Amino acid sequence: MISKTDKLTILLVEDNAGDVYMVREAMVEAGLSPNLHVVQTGTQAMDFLHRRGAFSSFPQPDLVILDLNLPAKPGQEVMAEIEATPSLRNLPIAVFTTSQSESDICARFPRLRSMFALKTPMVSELVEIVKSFDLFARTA
Amino acid sequence: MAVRSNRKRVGAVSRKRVASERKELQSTKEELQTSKEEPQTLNNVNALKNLADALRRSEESLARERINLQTMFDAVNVGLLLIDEDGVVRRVNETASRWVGKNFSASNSLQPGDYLGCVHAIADPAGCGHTLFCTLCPIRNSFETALRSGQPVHHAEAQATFEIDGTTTFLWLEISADSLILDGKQHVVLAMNDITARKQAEEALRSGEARFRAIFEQAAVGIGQIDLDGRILTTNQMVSQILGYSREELRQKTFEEITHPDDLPGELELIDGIIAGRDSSYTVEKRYLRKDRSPVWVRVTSSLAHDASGKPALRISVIEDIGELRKARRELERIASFPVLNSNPIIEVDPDGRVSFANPAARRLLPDIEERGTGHPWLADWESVVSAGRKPDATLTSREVLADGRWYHQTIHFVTGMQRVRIYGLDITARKQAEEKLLEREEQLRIFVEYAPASIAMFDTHMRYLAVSQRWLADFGLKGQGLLGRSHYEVFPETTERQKEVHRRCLAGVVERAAEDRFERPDGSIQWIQWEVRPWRSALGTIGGIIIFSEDITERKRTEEILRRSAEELARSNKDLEQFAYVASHDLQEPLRIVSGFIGRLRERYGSSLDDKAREYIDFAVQGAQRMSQLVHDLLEYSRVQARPRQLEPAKMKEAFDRALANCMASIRETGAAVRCGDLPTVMGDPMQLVQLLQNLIGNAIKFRRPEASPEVHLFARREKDDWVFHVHDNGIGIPMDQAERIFMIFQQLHTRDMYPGTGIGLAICRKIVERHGGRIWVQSELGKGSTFSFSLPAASPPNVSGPAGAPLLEMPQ
Repeated sequence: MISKTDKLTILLVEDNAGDVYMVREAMVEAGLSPNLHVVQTGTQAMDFLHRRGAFSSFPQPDLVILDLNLPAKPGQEVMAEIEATPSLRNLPIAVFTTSQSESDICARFPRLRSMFALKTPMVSELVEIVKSFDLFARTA
Repeated sequence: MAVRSNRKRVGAVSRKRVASERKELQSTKEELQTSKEEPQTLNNVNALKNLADALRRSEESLARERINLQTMFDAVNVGLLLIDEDGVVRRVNETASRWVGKNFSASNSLQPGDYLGCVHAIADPAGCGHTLFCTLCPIRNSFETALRSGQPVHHAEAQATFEIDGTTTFLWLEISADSLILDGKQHVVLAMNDITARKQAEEALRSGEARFRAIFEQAAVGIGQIDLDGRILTTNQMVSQILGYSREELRQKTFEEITHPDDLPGELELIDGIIAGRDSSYTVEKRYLRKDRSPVWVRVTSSLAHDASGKPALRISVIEDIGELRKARRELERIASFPVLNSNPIIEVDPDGRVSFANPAARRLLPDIEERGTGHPWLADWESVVSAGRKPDATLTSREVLADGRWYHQTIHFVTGMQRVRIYGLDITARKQAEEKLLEREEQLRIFVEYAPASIAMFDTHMRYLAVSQRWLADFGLKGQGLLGRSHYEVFPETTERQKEVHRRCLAGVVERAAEDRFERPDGSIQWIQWEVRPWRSALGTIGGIIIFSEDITERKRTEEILRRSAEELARSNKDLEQFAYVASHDLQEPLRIVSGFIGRLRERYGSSLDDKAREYIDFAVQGAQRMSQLVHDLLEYSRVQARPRQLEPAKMKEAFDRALANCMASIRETGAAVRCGDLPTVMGDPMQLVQLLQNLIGNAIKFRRPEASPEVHLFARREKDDWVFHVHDNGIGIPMDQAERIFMIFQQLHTRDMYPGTGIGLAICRKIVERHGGRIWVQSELGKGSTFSFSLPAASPPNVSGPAGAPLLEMPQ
């Protein structure tokens, strides 16, 4: 259990630099200052989680914020691989994506601890969303 | 004659002479044989004795006669030897020389001076050796006896073999001997007479008797001689075998003692008959009592034998064991009683139809057959029966006749050249009825098959055609061919083993079918057949064959194939389109969001430091991005209608209505709209999409309201055949009917966004949902008065047959 004051380590899987920028800003506005690591592909995400190669010295994250629309290895595949890895199965995952049509993603991976949030251009909304991510990671 | 012929041959001894002389000798012997009086040999011996005496008395005076005497001596057909007491042959005539010589040749003939004891010529029957004068030999015996006793010895018989002309000849000799004194010395005259012929005759006689005895002994019948007092004199082996008594035991018996007491009086009467001379013989079947007292059935034939004076002397009886015969006869009688016991009618008639025998069953079933004769149905068409029986070698025929309402199978037996005709009847009424029933059922099936408006053929168990429909002939190009009776495999030589296997299984009771089966015809063409093969059963329930139902689906297959291909193509292009819309909306959303996001930030953070114009620019950019985002969102919605898997299930429209209502609640509250519905049925559909459909239509009805009237929306349904037709009626602004089609197209709007916001996607989605459900959507409207949007959906259950098609099942709205 992570205490309310502990600093979170978060892995953000996002290939769109604008989105990364906005998430960082929203976190600042929300008063959160996690250790935020950003990777751009699903493959890098899996290497990070398994601490392989360039990521061998990185810490295990407390939360993964996962975009689904990723190059090469889409987010759905990343989730499937995490589900198939027992040591990663308890890792909280916040699916953060563009389309409402993916809203059933969490139901498709019932063994994972996950939540879903739709991307929004509204800064105020985005601040609330990153707050909910923080809460999810601490209570999940 | 013999003398004369012999004289001629004195000096000339030749093989030829031997042959002819042997013949003559034979005839002489025959003459000898015929005379059964005083043996001639003895006379000859006496003659010789006298001759020798004369010689002795006056040898000198007789010397002149010597040659003559010698001639006579030689000419005698009896072998003569004069032998002195030392056994030296003093004289020998030609005949003797011939017989006792080592060989029948001049050089080897016995000559005076030969010592008889040394001559090996005559084999004696006792087997003592081959010396003529051996001690046991009758010739030697005769010589010695005569020499010792001085008395004549008569008729000793000796058997001798001679080598005559290289052939061993067997002779019987009768030997006589007498002694006489010549020149003070004792001599013996031996005379040998050939008695072979007589011996042979005697032998023949003896063997004839033996043969007779053998016949008597080994006869297959018993033979006995019984004297007139009934005493048994002789019997043969068979009598002992029949009666179990030995021959000796039988000789102690009389025939009365061994005859069954019941059979005795009758036979005694018969015996009296032959003794009295009324009959020459009698034959009787009687019982003897065997030694073990068991009776044995015999047939006895008895006749009298008379003595020399012609008086009856004894009876000769021939006895046959007829036990087996009687058993066979009894069996025959038993068999003969069968027709009487038979419950089927059996009669015997002569060729004129006169009844000579009718068993009880025939008398019962055909009581008037004797009076009606050939007029009786039992003897119907009698002439043809008789003519059939008159054919050579005719023994049996059979037919079926109907008599007094019942069917009979008749087996007609012609006995010994049509002297009599036996008719055996068998009631086959039940079988006939069953047969008729069978035929009736088969006939019904045939008619069904022939007139069926489908491709059907009926076969027997050997796959021979019994019936075919016209369609069958047409489908397989068999019109004008006589199929009936022909084998299916002959008509379709290309029938595969797999198909034959199907037929065999169906003949065993199985029903088989195939929705489509490929047949390759001999011309290489392919025929697609949908078939079903099932056995057909006779009235008895047995399988009578199979019926093949077939449908040529070649054309349908072709159409289906074309349809399938175009459907595939359509599906592929649809999928491409959906993929495009889906991906585009996803990928378009992202940059739009970034644009909106950062423009929004720009205005929030730096809006205060910009002038009005700059803020106006930003607002247009934000609106454009938002509009774009809405279009992309709607396009995504639209494509999702199609992308959803099409799974229709029974769905209650009332539930869909309620949920749609809940989703529209905000605008209903806002506008004070009244939304009602009638009784709603269950349809086949996708519940989520039905909610979306109703929600869009209700939403539109409220959105396009008249400003002066509070909106009223009413949903109701009507049954039309297999479909339900739903109507959403409103009191809104209405639609010009020339726009009725356009409003269902994507992003088509009739009004400015200022008056009625939106992208124009709602009705396009509605149409897509309805069409996906196999239905249709349309609108009836009057501008300013309201619109009725109608759509049809397939019903979940068959139409209610009690109501007329198309009749309203639900009330129209008030």
